[in-house]
Amino acid sequence: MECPRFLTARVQAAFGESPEDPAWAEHGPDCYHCASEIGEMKELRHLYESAPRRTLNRRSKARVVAALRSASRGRRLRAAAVAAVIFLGATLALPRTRPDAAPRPAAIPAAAVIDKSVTEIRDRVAKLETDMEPAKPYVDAALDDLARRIRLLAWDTENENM
Amino acid sequence: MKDLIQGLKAGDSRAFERLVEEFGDRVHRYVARLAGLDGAEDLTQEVFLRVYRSIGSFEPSGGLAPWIFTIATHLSVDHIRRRIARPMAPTPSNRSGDPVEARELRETLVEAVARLPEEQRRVFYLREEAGLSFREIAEVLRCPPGTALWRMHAAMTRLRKALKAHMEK
Repeated sequence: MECPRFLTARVQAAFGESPEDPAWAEHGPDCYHCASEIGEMKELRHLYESAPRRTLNRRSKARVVAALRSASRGRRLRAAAVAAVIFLGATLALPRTRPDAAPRPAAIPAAAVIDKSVTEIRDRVAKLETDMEPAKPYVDAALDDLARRIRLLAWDTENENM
Repeated sequence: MKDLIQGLKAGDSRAFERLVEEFGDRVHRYVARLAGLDGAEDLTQEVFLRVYRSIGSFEPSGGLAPWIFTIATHLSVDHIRRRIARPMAPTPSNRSGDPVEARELRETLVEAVARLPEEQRRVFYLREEAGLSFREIAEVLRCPPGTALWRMHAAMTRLRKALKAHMEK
């Protein structure tokens, strides 16, 4: 094979493109082999181009355009349907989602449970008081105050929930 | 070309017409050569529908023509696999008054192109039927432009040999 370096440049020249190899400008015009091969490739292309070329007739083109329009309409309809479904879903879901979204109050034990717990605490404190007699009045007062406050809290919360 | 792409994305009817007018014949010739004349019109329509449906994913950094012919190549290959079709039979010449020798030579050439190795045949059809530049062909075939040029050179060498053998008969 002659001038292997310019193989791709010859193809580009035969197909009407500018060869990218900068050395081609000096080599190309003076090389008999390259010029000869370019000529042969051009002849071959000319022969191929002279073969009957098939084209899409007007009706076929119109059919393709109609198919594209139909696809476009289908896409728009689908988009509209999806938008409608989303809108309806959002509208119907709104009233239900509001209460769910609101923060729930902390769970408060029932009054009976509190009373029972206070009684248990009182028993345990009473047992302790027997061991530390001088501090009894103070512990008693504090315990009574605590029980009163817890009862008030339970009563208020229960009434709020009602 | 930018307004054509925007029109296609917007579903503009005039953009569809322009697309088919600009690429219709080239796509049809290319898929007919690659996948066979049988069903080529349906395949052409499929190519354009795929172009429309995928236009959202088209990246303007590349050319529209290479992108369209990439789709055409993939669909043609699928078509061949599905139908086990052969490349299009040589087109009989319908030019009356053509010298017999010239017609025979042309038919020999068309047959020889159809017998080229697949990679060379694709490059040849992308150039001669789709009218793409070698840079665009490289984009379609995902190879360096030099590879596309080399394949074309190899194809041309084979075709010249085939014609020479025919003339020596």
